[in-house]
Amino acid sequence: MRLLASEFLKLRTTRTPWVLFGIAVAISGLIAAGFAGFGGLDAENEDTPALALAQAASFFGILATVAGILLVTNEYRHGTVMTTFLGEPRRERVLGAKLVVALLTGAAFGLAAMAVSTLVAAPWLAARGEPSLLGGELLEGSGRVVLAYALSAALGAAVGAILQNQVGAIIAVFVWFLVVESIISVLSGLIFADDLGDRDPITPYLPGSALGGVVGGEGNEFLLRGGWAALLALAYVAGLSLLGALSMTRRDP
Amino acid sequence: MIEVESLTKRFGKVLAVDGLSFRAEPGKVTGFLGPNGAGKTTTLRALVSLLHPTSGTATVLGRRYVELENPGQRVGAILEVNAFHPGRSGRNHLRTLALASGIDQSRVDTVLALVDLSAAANRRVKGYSLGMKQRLALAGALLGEPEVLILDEPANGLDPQGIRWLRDLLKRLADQGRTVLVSSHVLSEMALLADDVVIIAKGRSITQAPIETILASGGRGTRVRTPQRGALAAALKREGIESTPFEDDALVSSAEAPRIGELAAREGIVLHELSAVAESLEDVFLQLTEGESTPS
Repeated sequence: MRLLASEFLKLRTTRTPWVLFGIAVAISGLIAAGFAGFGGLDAENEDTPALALAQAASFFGILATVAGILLVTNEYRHGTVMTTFLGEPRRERVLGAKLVVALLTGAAFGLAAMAVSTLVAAPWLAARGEPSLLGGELLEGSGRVVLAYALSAALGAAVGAILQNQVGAIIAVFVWFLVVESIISVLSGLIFADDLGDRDPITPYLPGSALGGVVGGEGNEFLLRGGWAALLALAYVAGLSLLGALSMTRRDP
Repeated sequence: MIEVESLTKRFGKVLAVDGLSFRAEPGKVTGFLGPNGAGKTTTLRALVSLLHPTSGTATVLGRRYVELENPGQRVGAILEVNAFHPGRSGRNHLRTLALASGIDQSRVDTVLALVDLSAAANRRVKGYSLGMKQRLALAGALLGEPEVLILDEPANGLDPQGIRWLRDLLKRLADQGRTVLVSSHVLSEMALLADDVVIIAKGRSITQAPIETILASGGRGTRVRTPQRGALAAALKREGIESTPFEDDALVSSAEAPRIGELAAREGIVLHELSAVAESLEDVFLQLTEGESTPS
C-alpha cells in the first residue's frame, strides 16, 4: 500500500501524465465528432452507435501505453530509481506497484475518453433523431474502453521495465503497433489468404489486435473479441511483466 | 555497523572492486577515500543492494540491504547528486520517499528545515543549484532518522560554509551513535569530516586507520604566520622544536598547533595565523595511492 501511495504521488507530481491525459481526452472528443459527422454512428452500420463510439474512444489507447512507459522509464532516466530501490530493494514489488498504478491510470484515461466522446456525440445523434445512446450498450462499451486502456497502460509499464530506456521503449511500442503488426498482417494475408480464406491464423493473436479486439468491431483482424481478446491481452501483459521483473532485478541501475 | 568482506565486482573486463574488506563502526564518521575511479561508488552501491557483487559480501546492520526490514527507516543514502525528476518540487520528492518507506509526512518539513531548503521546497528541482540538490539529497537520506548513513561525495557542490555545516551535522549524527560512511576523493575534505579513514585505489584497500594516524604518517605540520618570526623560532628552539622559515613572515613546524600557540602566548609573541598544513595531507594521499591511480 505504501508503495502504491508513493507511486500515485510520483505520477501526480509531474506534468507529462496530465498532458497525455489532456491529449487523450481532446483527441477522443475530436474523433467522436469526426465519427459522428461522417456517419460512423448511423443506424445502417453493423456496429451499434455505442460500440462504434467505444471504438472511436479507444483509438488512441497508445497514449495510455506511453503513460505506462513513463511510469517506469522516468525513474531510470532521472536516476530516481535509485532512491525508489533504497525504499524498497525488492525490485519486483516496485514493478508490481507500478503495474497496479498503470492499470488504474489507464482505466482513468479510458473513462475520461469515453465520457468526452459520449458528450460530444450525444447531442449530434439527438439532433438527427437517432435512438438515444444511453443504456446497457453504452455501459458495456464504456467498460470495454476502460479495460482496453487499462491493459494498454500496463503493457507500457511492462515494456518500460524490460527496456528501461525511455526513448527506446516509446519507439519500440510505436514501431510494433503501427508498423510491425501491419507488416505481419499483410504478409500473413498474402500467405494464408488462398488456403484459409478470411481466417488469418496470426494477426488476431498479436498484442495490438488483441487490445483492439477488447473493444471489438467488425474488422477482419478482430477475430477474437470481447472476453477472449481481453484474456489474450492480459496474457501478453502478464508475460511482458514477468520479463520486465527479470530485467529490473537482473540489470542494476 | 557496515561490513564489507572480500567484496569483488567485475563489469565486463573491468575489475571495479577487487577483494575489498573494511568496516565502519557506529558512533564514528568513517571516510571512504580514493581517487576517481577507485571503486568507491561501486562499493557503496553494493552496500545498499543497488548492484549485485561478483563475489564477497557487503552488509549493513548485519544483513544484506535487500534483507533488511523497513530499510528506508534504518538506512539513509546518497548515491547520486542529481537523482531527481526535474519537474517535481523538492517537497514532493521527499513526500514520495516518505510514503514509500512509511515515514511520517511531518518529517518532510523537518528535514527541509534542517538542510535550509524550506523556502525553495515548493519550487521545481529543475531550478535548484548543485549545492541545493546536494542538500535535498541529504534531506532524503535523513528522512527516516536512519541508524546508518551512506553518503557518496556529499560535499560535492557545497561551498566552504556548506562543508563546515556538513561536518558539524555528520559529527552530531555520529555522536548520537549512528554509523556514518562518507566517500570523497579530496583528502583535505576528509580531514575535516572523518574520524576513521579507509583509503582505496584500483578497487583495493590501501589502508584503514584513524585520521590522526594517517596524517601523522605523512609528517603532519603546522604553519605559523607572525611579525616576530625570529623570536618565535628562538622560543621554539628552546623547547626543542624544529622550525623552518616559510614565505616572508611564516614558519612551518612539525609540532601541533596548540603547542605552538600556547608557547607564543607565554612568550607574548603575536600570531597572525596558526594552521595545520593542508598540503601535506594531499601529499600523504598521493604517497599512499601512488602508482595506483591514473591521472585524469
